[in-house]
Amino acid sequence: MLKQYTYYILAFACLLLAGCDRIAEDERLIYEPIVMEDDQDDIPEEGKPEQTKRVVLLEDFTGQRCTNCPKATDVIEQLQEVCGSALVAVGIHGGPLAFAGNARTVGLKIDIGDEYYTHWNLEYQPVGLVNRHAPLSYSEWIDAVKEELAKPAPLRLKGTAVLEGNVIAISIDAQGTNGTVDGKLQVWLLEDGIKALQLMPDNKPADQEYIHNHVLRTAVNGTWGEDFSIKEGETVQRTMALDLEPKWNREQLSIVAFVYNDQGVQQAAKTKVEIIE
Amino acid sequence: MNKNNLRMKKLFTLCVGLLSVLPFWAQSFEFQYEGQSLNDDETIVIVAEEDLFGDLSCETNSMLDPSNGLVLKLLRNATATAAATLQITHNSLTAESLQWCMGGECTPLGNQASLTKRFTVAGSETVQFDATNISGEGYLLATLKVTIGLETRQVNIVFVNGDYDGISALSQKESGKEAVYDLHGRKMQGKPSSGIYIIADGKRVRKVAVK
Repeated sequence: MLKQYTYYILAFACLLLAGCDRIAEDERLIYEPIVMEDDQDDIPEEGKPEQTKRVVLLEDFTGQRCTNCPKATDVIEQLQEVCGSALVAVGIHGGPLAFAGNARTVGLKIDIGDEYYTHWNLEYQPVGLVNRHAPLSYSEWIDAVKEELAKPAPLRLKGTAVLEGNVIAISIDAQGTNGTVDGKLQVWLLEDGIKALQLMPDNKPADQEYIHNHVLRTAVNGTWGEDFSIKEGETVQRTMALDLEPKWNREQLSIVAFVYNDQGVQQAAKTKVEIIE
Repeated sequence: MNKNNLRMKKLFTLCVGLLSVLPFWAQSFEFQYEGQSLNDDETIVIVAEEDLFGDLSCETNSMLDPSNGLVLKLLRNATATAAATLQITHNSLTAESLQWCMGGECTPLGNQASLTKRFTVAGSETVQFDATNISGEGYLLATLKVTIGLETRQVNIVFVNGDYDGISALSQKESGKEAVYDLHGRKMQGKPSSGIYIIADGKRVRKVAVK
């Protein structure tokens, strides 16, 4: 009888031990914060340019009528917490689930949002482009951002934006740090803290006071930006101006600048609009 | 004694065999609408109303109480993998957009008549299907078919704006019979009490006031 119990105990112990498989190092899930130096603030003027880290652009195609879009926003917030200024997220309200607004309800859809949605052949929402590569579901963004951050950046970008009166004066400074880059320079205006209706996931009621952050308001230099070219060691400055629209909250505006080409977004930068009274 | 043992053994094997195939016969999921179980292939009718955005819309789940609309509910397992197909069989509803959200993604239908999704259901899954910003009279007929394991069930969804003649496809199974729905799309049994109802007789759908 005792012998029988011993067998049972041994079998149970074997089962327990079998459950403790060693997990290979590259398969372990480790939440590892990415520390970024804000090394784009100052552009060295002379000598061999210092290498710079890549800032990743995440375009989130969203809509107030898109039930699952707040889940994508949660992923962006997680990423921002880890990546800090190394990630620039933009909420693009476009496509059939975006809401243009009416007399009763504030809408955040813009025409260029629809144009981008159509151009990238997007088919569902939420969906995002990480550095303008293939469209990805929000569950894939973390890995894609991590992958992009590991790539070297061929240029350094810095933006300044000043609101004086009703005009935002924008200056974008770039320095080539590795090879030559040909592509487009795109500058966008974003607004944070917009309170507006949003459908919610997981059987939650619609939120009439949902706070929409990093909402794309307009493209400063055209829907697809302007031609841009820079060589290693070269510095380029572009200036532009934008009239303030009454519906924008001047306290919550930012400028996003990025350089892109057929290989995707090469570098991005974000800066808050400074108000001069 | 040995004979008895053999009989008992056979009986035991038979019982085990029966018990092991029982799960394949039992219903594993169902559709519910506003908390009520729907029969397989049942039809729900949803009349256009002004939604929270201020647009005229038909929605399977209210924006303010989404859990109380059309829901797919597992009856036996905590989780299951589902394949769902939404098929539009008629659309004269002039809606700005149609969206179908299940499995964590919202898909606009655009000009497509059919869409399929595969996803994992944990307990239950809200079936959110909306026609938004309807600008004219018309109707839409759709069938949602879900397969989990070996079992397939479907629900027919009718979105209506206005009173219509000639909706023969509304429910061909009910042709010749008259089905009465309340304004929430619930099918009424017996003579309804006073109020406004939708009557579908297989050829037309109309709104009537019962006094």
